[in-house]
Amino acid sequence: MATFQVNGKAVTTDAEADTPLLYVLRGDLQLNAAKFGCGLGQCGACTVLVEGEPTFSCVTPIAILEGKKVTTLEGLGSADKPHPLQRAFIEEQAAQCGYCIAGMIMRAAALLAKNPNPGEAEIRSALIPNLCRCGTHMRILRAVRKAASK
Amino acid sequence: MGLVTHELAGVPGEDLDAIAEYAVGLMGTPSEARRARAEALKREPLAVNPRAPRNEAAVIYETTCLPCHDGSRPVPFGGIPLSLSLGLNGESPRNLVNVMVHGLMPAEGETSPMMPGFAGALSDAQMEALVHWLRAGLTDQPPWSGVDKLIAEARAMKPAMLLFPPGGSGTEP
Repeated sequence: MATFQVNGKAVTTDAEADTPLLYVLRGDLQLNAAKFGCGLGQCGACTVLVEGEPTFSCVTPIAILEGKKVTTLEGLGSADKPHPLQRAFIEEQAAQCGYCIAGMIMRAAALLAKNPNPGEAEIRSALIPNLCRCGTHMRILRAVRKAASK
Repeated sequence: MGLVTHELAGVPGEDLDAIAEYAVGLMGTPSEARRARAEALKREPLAVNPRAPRNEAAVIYETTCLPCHDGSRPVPFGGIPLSLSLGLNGESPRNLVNVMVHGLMPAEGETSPMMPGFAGALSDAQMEALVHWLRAGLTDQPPWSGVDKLIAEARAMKPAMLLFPPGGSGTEP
């Protein structure tokens, strides 16, 4: 049982205390952007923001979220009104299979919120925890650079 | 320290034996109490001190740490029971705090310990309470002080300054 905010709305869940946030997002709230990748906090596919900080939702139990603010990709923007990062990822066609992209965008969003004009090294450094197995890194980097320059 | 042990892997076996003998010599012969504590830890590494408080930090330990640190999976897919961790038993909580905030970066191209950081998931207050609970609940060591300052320092530190994974020269993608 825990109460926290997801994309600005209060959520109360009666899931067990050790239930990962990712399961509540996907299983209960139908917020399916964040993905289950490794389940060990090592691939970044499940990345969401907690209080603005990029967080692996697969290893974040709901017990520690009481009163906190969670933002998922769905909270950044919509198909009609995409966030500048979402628009840039579409324009650069940064996704191949797309499994890592929600996590990539959320980690990039946390970076740009703190540092609107990051250098190349800062972008690469910030994205280290997120893996892409298709190999679209260059397109992902282009998209983040594009969003940062707007 | 990971770099040090990584480099030592290339040292001849007899030299490693000599270093180990020297290090054990520095530690001296363990007291009866220390030996008994070690035996108890080997028997029941997950045992919690019954005097540890049943507070929010206990719940954080059970829900956030224990799912990996229950010793049921081999490294790196699971972590060691925290009662056996030097991070909890040392003189300073600095290592423990740094790892909680930033995690452990996996080494490139080889099996190594790894852990996600919890900078986003845990607030300063939650981390501080957890550090004190871990010390009280899983060790027989005296309480720490100045934990809040170390948490602030760890948060201000860039993980790249902290983590030099063995086996790789850099962490750029």
